[in-house]
Amino acid sequence: MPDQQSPAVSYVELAGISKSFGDVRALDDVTVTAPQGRVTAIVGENGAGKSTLMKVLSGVVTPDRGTVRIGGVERHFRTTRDATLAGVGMVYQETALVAAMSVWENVVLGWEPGQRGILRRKHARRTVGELAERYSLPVPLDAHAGDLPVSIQQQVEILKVLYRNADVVILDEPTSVLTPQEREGLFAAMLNLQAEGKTLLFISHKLDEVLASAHHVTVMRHGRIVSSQRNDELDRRGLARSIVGRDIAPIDLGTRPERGATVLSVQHVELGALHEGPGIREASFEVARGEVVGVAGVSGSGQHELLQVISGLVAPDAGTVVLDGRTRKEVDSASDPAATLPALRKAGMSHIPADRNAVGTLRRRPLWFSALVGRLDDPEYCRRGVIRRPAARALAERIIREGGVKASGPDALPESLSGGNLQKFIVQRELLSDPVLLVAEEPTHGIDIGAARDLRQKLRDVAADGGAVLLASTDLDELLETCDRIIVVFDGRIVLDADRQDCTEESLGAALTGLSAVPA
Amino acid sequence: MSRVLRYVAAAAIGLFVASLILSLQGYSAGAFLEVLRMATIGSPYAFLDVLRWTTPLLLSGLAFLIAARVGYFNLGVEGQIYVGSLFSALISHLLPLPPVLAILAGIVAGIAGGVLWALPCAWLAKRWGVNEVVTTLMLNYVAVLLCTFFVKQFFLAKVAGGGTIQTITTDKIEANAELPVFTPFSGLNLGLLLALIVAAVAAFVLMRTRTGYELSAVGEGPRFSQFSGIPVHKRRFQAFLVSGAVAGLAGAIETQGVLHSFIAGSLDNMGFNGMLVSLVAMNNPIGLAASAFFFGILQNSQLVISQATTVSSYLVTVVSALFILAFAANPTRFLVDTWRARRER
Repeated sequence: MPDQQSPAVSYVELAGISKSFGDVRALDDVTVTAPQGRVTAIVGENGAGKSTLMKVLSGVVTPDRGTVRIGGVERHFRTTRDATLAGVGMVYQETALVAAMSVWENVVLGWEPGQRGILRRKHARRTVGELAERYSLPVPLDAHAGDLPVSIQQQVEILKVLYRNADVVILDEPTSVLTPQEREGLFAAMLNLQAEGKTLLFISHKLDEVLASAHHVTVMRHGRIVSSQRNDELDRRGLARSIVGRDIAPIDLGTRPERGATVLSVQHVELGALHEGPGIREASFEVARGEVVGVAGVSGSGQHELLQVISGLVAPDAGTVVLDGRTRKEVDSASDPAATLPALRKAGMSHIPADRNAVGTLRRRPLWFSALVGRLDDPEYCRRGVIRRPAARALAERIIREGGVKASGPDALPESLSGGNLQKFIVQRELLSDPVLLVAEEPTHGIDIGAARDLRQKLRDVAADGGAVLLASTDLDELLETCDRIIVVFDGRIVLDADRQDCTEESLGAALTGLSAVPA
Repeated sequence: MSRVLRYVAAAAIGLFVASLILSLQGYSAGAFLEVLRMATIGSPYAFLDVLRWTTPLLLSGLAFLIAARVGYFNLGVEGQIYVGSLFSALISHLLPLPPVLAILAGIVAGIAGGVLWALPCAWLAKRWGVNEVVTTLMLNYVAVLLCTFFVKQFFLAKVAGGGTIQTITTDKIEANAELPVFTPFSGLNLGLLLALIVAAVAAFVLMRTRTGYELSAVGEGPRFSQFSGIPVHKRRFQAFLVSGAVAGLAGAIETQGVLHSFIAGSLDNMGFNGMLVSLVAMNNPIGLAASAFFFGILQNSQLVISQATTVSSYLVTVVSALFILAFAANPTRFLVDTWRARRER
């Protein structure tokens, strides 16, 4: 391992890279170097060009101008296979494993060791096992990939890249799908890769992670490099400023109002597990007007089920949920969620779902289609069963305008929007109805820091206007910055319900893993 | 633009291969074009015959399309048409009615037959998540054979003179139940108007109304629909039954408009051709009529070619298969993409 202080050799050199898509200059004369055995972080807002740059390096995109050098040799990648052969591997944000295949099969897939077309299974499995041991990536070789948690799937993806003899490993927002504990595991794996002399490129939105793991930090904005500095020359505030191009003000929490009337009351709710884990064993809590309440939990602890029940997508097995003085029974005669949801929305509930692609919008229909969620009973948008398209378009236009969404118009397809912009659209749609209770699941997932800050401010504004917000997030910093109170769910129970002032990252971390008893 | 190119290229490939085959047989290179001309505007009634074939294709295409909108692959249109056709014939025998009522009764019975045959598949899919491709496809065989058995056993046509009968068919339906034809020289009948009205109403409902919105949402984003409070399973179930109803209507129109009885074997492939009609229209209700018309031309060419040449009428089946293949492979996509990429530079 090279000495931390000595100037390391630049293993990856991207020089003068430019790339345009139509009229959009995605990359404008970008020069980046990454030394061997080090982590080079590339940070920037959505659309700054980080992903495009990494696609150039991994052979997905061919640049208009500029050169790529790996280990001093100039390369011209036409396909990802070229890049793989040159020792460049990319671990994408979303894992793409074959669920029904075992871990080792997934690792060798596409580059199977064979003899005259016959797969050498034993040999392949042993190679993958040795690789996993060498890099301390403890994956179950024979388990089906689909049965594994996302964090392990990600390690399988890393193994896949290593199996292809990658010397350069690109990690694209690897932590966005991980819980804080799983994140530590990833960082440990990154240290092992460094020790083995790999060149790591790390793309992230989260400044604390970047500062904790990278030797070098390169900041991109609008397709250009704005700064490139050693870690010890940086601080969080300065880094945030160079990413956004302006100072980021802390969000305005407002004056904490006196505890208002109860908006949401959850009493003795129980529910069997929906996917894995314990489901909800027992949960009771209340949310009052003017409050932002955070919900934290390691995946599979039951917080997902809890939010599904509160937002009306699933009926609880036992217990009651009361929204604004109305019990679920009163808004809903049957236990059919399809009947519950419109009634809940009418009672003032809004919901920002965690999955903006499959749940929040309809991918292949114009935005105005998705804008109509929860509004079909309104004669403004649907009269005598006929949808009023001009009104629907105007609504979508309003959401785009007021939410600061970058979209060509109400007829744009959601799949043409970047993730962050789509999220802004969904958030603004849900805010438009002045919610009494806003259930927000991972609302800032994949959104850059400037936009995330504005979004958190909007959540605070809902509370300031007399509404209540339930904010579920795996980002503890976000919860500590935004919430008045934080609830931690572990093993299907609420193990912590405390005011923000009484919470620290440590106490939350302990509760998340079930280490702490209920606090004083 | 690229869409138009896609259709034109597919048609050109089909036409080229057909002309090639014909010229190998010693016909002139333009022989297939001549067949197409004869089948469409060659005689005063050719065009009417094209429309006669367009009628059931439009309805069976629509039946497939409605199910496809909610994500179901209704391969059972074939069987649903069969049952609809039989029901429509039987009601005329069992319940003689005055003129207009007899027509209505036949149509209602046909629709009921289609719904009845779709019901078990729809229910199994809703209740237990049984794959509808399997159930509908299997029930086709049951429909065809059961209808044939039923007719042979209980409703076989009486032959004058008591001779043996070649085809399994019911007696002719009451004249009151027949759909009026436009001329005695073509099978084209009032059913075309009915089919057009149904297709227009369906297009409006699917594209403009809340019901259509919900069906699209259910088909393209089941989790989005659930999140929006749309009863996903209920809507899919309803659409499946409507799909069966439209197929049944197609069967009734065949019985009452053209065949004037249930004739085993005469409805073969009508349902599967409907699937092709819908696929070529890319499940778009507006394009459906044009697509049905196109397949109507091919269907009529099949009859013309066997009259005008010694070439087997299967040639037309080959042409339509080639058309579908070329359409699905979309060879012009490559050209369009290259052209776009070049323009971007």
